Amino acid sequence: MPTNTDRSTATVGEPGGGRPSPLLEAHALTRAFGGGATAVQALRDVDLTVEEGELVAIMGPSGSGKSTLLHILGALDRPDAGSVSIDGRRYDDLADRELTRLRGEVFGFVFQFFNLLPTLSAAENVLLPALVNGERPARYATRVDSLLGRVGLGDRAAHLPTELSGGEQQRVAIARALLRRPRLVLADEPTGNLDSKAGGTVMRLLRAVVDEGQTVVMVTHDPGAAALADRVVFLRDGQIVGEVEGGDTARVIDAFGEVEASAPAGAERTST
Amino acid sequence: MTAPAHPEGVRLHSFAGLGGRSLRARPLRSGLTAAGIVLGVGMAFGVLVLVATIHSSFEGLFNAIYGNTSVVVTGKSSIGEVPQRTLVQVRRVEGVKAASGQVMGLFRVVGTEGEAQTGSSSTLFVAGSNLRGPNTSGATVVEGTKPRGPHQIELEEGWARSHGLSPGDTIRLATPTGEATLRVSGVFRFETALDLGGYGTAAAPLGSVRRMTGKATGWDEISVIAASGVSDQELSRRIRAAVGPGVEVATPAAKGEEVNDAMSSLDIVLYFFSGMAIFVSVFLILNSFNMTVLQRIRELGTLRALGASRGRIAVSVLGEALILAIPGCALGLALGIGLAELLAAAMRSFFGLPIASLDVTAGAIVGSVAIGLLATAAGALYPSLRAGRIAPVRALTGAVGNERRPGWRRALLGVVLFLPGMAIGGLFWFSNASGTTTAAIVGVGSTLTMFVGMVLLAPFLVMPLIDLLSWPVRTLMPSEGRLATDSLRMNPLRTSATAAALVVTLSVVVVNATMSASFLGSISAQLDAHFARDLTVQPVGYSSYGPPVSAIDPSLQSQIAALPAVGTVTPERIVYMRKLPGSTEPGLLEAVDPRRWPLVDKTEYEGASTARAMAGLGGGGAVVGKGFADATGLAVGDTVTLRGAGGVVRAPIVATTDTFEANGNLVMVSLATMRRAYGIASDSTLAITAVSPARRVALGRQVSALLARRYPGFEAVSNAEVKKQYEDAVNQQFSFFDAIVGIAVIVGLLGIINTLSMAVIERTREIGVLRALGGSRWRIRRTMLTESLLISLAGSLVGIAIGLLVGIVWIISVRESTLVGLSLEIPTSMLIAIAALGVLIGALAAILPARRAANLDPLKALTYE
Ligand SMILES: Nc1ncnc2c1ncn2[C@@H]1O[C@H](COP(=O)(O)OP(=O)(O)O)[C@@H](O)[C@H]1O
Ligand SMILES: [Mg+2]
Repeated sequence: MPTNTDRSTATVGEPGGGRPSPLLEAHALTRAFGGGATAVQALRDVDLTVEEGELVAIMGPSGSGKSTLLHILGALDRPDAGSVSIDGRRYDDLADRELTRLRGEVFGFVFQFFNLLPTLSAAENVLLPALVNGERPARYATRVDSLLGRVGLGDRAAHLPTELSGGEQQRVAIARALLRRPRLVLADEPTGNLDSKAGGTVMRLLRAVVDEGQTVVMVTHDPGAAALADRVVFLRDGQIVGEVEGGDTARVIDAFGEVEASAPAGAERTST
Repeated sequence: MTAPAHPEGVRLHSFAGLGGRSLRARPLRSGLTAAGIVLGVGMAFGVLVLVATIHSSFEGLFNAIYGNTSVVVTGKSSIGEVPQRTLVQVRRVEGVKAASGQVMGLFRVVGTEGEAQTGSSSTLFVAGSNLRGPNTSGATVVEGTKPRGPHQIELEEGWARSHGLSPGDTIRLATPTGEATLRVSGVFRFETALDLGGYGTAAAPLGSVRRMTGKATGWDEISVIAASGVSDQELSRRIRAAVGPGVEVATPAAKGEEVNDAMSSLDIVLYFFSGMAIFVSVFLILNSFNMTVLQRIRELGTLRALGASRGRIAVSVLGEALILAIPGCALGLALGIGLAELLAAAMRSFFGLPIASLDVTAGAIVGSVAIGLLATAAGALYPSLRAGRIAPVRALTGAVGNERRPGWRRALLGVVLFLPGMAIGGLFWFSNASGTTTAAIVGVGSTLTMFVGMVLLAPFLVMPLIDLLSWPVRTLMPSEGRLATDSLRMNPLRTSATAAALVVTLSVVVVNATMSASFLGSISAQLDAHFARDLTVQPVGYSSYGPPVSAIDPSLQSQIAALPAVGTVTPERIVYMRKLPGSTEPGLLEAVDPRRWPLVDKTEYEGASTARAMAGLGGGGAVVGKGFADATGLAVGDTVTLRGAGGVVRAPIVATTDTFEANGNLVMVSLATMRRAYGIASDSTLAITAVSPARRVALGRQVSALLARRYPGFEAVSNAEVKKQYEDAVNQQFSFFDAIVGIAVIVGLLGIINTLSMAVIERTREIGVLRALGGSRWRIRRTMLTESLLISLAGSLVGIAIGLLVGIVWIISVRESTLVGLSLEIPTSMLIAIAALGVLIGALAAILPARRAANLDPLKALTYE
């Protein structure tokens, strides 16, 4: 079923018999900012596993460490302690050079504020990860067209970001994240800056991409968006405090309300 | 399936293309940065071309006039006359095929009104020699004939044409012995082209030139042609052995070298100013790219998050800079040509140098472009590395906490660079040790180091001043004042980097102004104290550093002495020497009549009373300036040895004098001593007193009438006019430098525009809020203007303060070392003008950014990310 694993399946070990090992494994992640009296413990002892082909949503109150977790998963930042590995290979302790390679080849990123380059057309923005990694545009000639078609912007290739709506810009950003067939796409509040209609379109697009085999981890505030995920993980004060299955908006809202209402930092984990 | 070479909507070919896009997206910033490169390259190229032109001018001159000459024999350092007998001695030397003695005259063309015309193109160098003798220059007659009689002259083709003269025409010349009218017999052409930047050359029969110059015996120069088989060097050696010790024997090539060496101090000044312009342009590029990087932090973070390596980001920012360098260098070359033309014109008129038309070499082009590229790379290097270090998370968080404060390390480094830079730089510019190349490199290097120190120290001086100035501004205009001052104070590094451009440039102007005011003030005071004459007769266009002028024939002195209102008339003979006797420094050798000099000059000497000093001069002694005494270590009682073509004279030092003439590099002897050593028998100026104070007006009238009637080449000037001429000469020297500094000021202006437009971009949202809340365009403009004026005022004040500090320290050190009488003069009105200039720069710089801010669409500004 997966269509995008051509480059890495060989390295995925299959210990423990028929069950494949998870795509991504984070273990005991800890991350603090600052020092002394003003130190903030953004993540404490976080474990997370993501299976291939899953759409995982991370929810939690503001400041709970969602972005910090996503940055570490996406090799944008390193944990103070703990490990994180993709396809069984650890990357929490790699040097910048290797992290750079991972960012370009293994991960795709979608940002809340789209982060399209204002001077580049939609198609050029989609092509950017290839350019950034020193590849020739010609190799991606059909890929860019088909991705733009896939996100419903086939006729907007030459448009600049300023000529696109927010939702359209975010769709361009999704196409960009997919360009080099990453193992994992990470999205930090991809609908956070969009109205509900455009947000819905973007979420359905992400869902469809996952259904075609892509693995996605996203942070969201919107229970409706989270309900489209396979799994919703709740974070609070830097800790995983719960997890529900996606699919049902009411269930997600209930679980989120529980997390919001639960005991302050350091409380024992609520389990589902 | 044939895949298109490019996906639809994609016009980028590679990552490198991104740089061009981002430059085009910020046309103002890109334009300003490129302008910085243009100015840096322009200065570098202009100076390289000018220096090459100066040197090739002299090369061309020597190649032309010594076309057939193997060896040139002159007085030591080309000073004074070679005795008549030397020609006989030279002719006897084995290997000499022919030798021709020459007497030179420098005459001015007399206009139709009977007045000598000034300017280099009215100045004619006339060589007198036996025209039937050997042709040492290799010139050929192209029209007419050689002069046949005493009243004929032959002109160089180019000069004759530009003056509309052809054979058969007459030409009126002001000569030392009076006006002469000559007939043009013919026109000649040198073997190689000669371009003296306007000066003319001519040939006339020996006797005729002797009569016009009053030089009855001796030779200014003997040109020798070698017999075949004898090398020039060998012949020089043989002739040197045959003639006296005060005679200089050199090949034309060696003479050319010597002149080139003499020009090297001028080269250093020029190189320094181009170094300074390059320094400022590196600084501008650095500033500008630092800001771009700050501004694009989210964009660069995004690229990092998409997998761009540090190196790739750094190279791409550096690449952007180099893309700008291409048009920057091209325009810079064009600007450089213009600058070189201007500077060459200035040197022709200020210093009277025979500068030919510009000599643009491939080396100068390649060198300047290389300098431009290096300067760009140097300026963009730090911002590029910084861009590479941007963390990928910045894609999400954008810039955080860029309010870095300058630390104590910076202050310390600033002081460590500034103080020694100032001390060593000052020694170099105003001491007697400025001769050697090593000294020049150290001196110029430490001056630039001083500027780096200034830049590092700028935040510690500028920020407190801005805080201080903010206060009244915020009280007067609460909302605009707040916006403007907050932005300045939130980014101390950016604010002070902007102000630093002004600090550096204005401080140079202030140092220049302080030094020139002090020198001028001291010279005027000295003239007032020493001048006891009523009138001075001097060649038209005379100035101590100015173009060469004719000497005065002694017959003029006796004619003036015969006028009824004249009490005393006594000559002063002054020779500029590239090396004073016993010294390695250039200076003036001055000769006076010891019996009459005290009547026109009341200088007090040290080491002896005036009477004893003059008696000492009369007895063959010398009075020396303090500068000379310091440089050589000689004192009263020691001996100065004058070695001229006429003979060797040992002159005991009888007194010293504290003078500003030639920075105290002065040796004064009697007319007889100078004549004995150097054969010089004509006067530079004549000092005259009236029989009684009541006859001063009559004196002026009588002398002027005599000059107008017979000697159009000379003029009578009052003491006030002499003082004015000194002032003009000093001012001209310093203003020549100021003109070059002006270019640096322009670069400073660009720097401020750059920062301000950056501030607009950074505060787009804030401005949007202001506009949405009903803030008028005028209010926005006023905010920007306030910000700009605050920066420029603070920068100007700090620049003036530092400039004064440097100027005062330098003057004190000059006073301590050589010029004891130098007094410090603060050019107050000039300082006010400089402060006003700084504020004007601020106002000008605000125009573009203010317009941009005011024209922002409030809606767009609000959603600006
Ligand atoms: N670079 C940083 N420096 C200091 N503190 C930070 C930094 N990034 C995040 N934090 C802190 O860590 C905590 C978690 O932040 P974040 O992961 O952004 O939360 P969320 O995305 O869930 O809102 C917050 O308290 C935040 O203030
Ligand atoms: Mg967040």
